[in-house]
Amino acid sequence: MMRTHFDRWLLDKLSVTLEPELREAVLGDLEELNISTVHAICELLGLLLRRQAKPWTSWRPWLALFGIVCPITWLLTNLSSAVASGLNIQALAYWKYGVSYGTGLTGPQEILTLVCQSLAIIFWSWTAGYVLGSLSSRTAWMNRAVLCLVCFFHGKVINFIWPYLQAVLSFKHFGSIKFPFYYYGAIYPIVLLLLFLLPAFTGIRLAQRYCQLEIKPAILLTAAIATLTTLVTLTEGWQFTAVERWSMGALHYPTPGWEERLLPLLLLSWPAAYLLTASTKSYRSKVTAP
Amino acid sequence: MLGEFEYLLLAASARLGDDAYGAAIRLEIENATGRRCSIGALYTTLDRLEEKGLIKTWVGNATQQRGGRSKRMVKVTAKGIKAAKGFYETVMRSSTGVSWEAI
Repeated sequence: MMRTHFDRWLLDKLSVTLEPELREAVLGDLEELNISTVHAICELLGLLLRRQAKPWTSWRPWLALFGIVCPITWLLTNLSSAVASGLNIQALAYWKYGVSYGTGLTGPQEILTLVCQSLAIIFWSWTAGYVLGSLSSRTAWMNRAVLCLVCFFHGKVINFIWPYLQAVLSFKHFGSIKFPFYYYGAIYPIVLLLLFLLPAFTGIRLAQRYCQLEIKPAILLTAAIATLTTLVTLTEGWQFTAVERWSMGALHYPTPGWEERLLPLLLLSWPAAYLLTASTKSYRSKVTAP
Repeated sequence: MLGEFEYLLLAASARLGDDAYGAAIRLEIENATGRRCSIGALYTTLDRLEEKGLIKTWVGNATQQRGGRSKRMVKVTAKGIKAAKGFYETVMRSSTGVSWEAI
């Protein structure tokens, strides 16, 4: 069966997730078996499906999916959206009125809040990506796809609709802030890419290459994340009290306590604890090995 | 104990000897069973048998017929021979006194 250049290109692209040696063998077999291209594609897809299904018999990919991809992606998308909203409001205020948007915080407080949140999101994303890559390297591409879906679906649709839905149902007051179209077209995607997606995918890639983090980098990473988590909890509290102070008590929100603010951030930090535990175990087994 | 398809794969590899590789094993199995054998089932089972230590595989030579792509050669190990022999003897023992013609 003579295959066209396009047929070979298509089979090549479909088999890209296979290991190189297996890919060579399978494509060679399909060439030798003299079957139609459609039949060859069905055979290849069958193999890909079986290979993707096999790792799911273990607990690791499930922990990766339900412990990291779903909850942590959702939280980090929320936080990235908050950072992007803050930047967007400031950019709008400068662009339209030539002044900064008053949040009640001082200039240094604003900068510290932005830097802490941004760094924290980057560290959380990288760590989550690393643990994702080390838990299930065989299902990494599927986890990456689900991560992107959760990220864009949640970030784009829900964050666009939810404020208006809540305002209509009067659960919470969001004022008259409207997000112009360039927020979702430019600012938000850039913030999401730089703070969340790039670090997460870098973490996944490094985990697939090195698998185990050494003890010293693991300790430094955990310390950095603990510090940033504390700073983000602290700076979030500033924003709530600043609004109330600025409005001289007119705008009083039920301020969440530090425990309530810390809880979701602890969920974001569990991958760091997992990495530290795994690195410590590996270090101990190397030290005690004869 | 081996599964049915695992035994078929081991038997085909043993019969082919030095020429046992993916496409050849697939054709042998199809000729013996009269049923189609998918590449997915074949390579998944090869991986499983190799994990169990029943076969070993390595990269073979490329040929023009295969578009210049190399083969995955297969050889049954001593452990694999023992497992296949055990499966065969079990089937023979459980078939003693059974005549499928008479039923």
